[in-house]
Amino acid sequence: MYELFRKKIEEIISVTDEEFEFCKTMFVPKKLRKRQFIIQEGDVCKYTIFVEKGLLRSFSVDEKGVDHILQFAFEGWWMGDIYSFLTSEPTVYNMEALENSELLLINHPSWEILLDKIPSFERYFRILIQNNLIATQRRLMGTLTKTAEEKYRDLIENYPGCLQRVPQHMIASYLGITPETLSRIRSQKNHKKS
Amino acid sequence: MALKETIAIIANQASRAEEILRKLPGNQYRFLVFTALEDTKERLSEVGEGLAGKEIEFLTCMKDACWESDLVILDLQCSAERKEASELIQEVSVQKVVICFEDRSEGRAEIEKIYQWLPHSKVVVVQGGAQTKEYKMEGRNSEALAEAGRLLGGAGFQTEVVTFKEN
Repeated sequence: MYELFRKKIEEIISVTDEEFEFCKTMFVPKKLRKRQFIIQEGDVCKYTIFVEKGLLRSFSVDEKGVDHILQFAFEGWWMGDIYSFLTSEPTVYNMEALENSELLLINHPSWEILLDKIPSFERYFRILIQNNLIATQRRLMGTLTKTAEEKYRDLIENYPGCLQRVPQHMIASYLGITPETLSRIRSQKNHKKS
Repeated sequence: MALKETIAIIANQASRAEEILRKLPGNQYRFLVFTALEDTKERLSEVGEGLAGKEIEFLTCMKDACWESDLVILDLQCSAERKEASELIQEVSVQKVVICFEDRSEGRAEIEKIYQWLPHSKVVVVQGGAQTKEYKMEGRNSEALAEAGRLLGGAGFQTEVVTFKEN
């Protein structure tokens, strides 16, 4: 249950067995079925979430009822709303399982205990937050400046396996384009290959 | 609309589970029930069928029920059953509130065993209620005690915190 979790942590910091055993006791194991939500808009995002197995998406819904996907989280990825997590203000995002998923959740008090007891986790989460900031800035610039084709190419690079696991209309929503435009880009790509 | 909280009910007798299923509001809770006893399952299935609109599901795996849940209720009568269940669910109940009924008042030693069997859960031990619905609760986490009190109160049980020791 914790194999991938440890592997991902050890890509960034070293932890002893004893430290990792302590770390495990801070996280809530949670199974989520496909289409179930772990966070809903208007709730406080009490947890930061590690995906051990499965796939999540975070999205907001506009006044016309249209979904806007912010992020997908595959195995080994983290998801959450750091603003809501740190301030206890309601989140504007929904987080839903796109596949049956196994998650590890940590709430704010446990997170503080973990950082206090094992200082190397301060470094771990600092690097995660740095990486998240970089990814968010790139995504923002991409949204403002890149063509639909470039955004599609970035998606394939950043989310390998995405096309096999995520419905087309959700990929279009993530890219901020219509499903028809996505279909056109994909068929152009396929033509180039053949 | 707030998310429903998922409660796993692990029971080998129907009466308390029935009260919980009947009285806790279906718009706030989703129930995953595991029972090893066929007559208890039959009784609770009948109850569930009469509660249209509530999400009640019977699972065949105790561990999965607890893994999916946000909070666990263990209503098992003897120490050996509690020990066996705790071993099965220990890993998937970390940091979760586990409300454990202990009817026979087997003494301090039994309560300490329950804490030991679920060392990383927020255990609330509930005793009493044999003749009335008055229960005494103890636990080592104040938020878990408050949550258990709210939940059991909502199911019509009268609870009183008798001892409390912060971790």
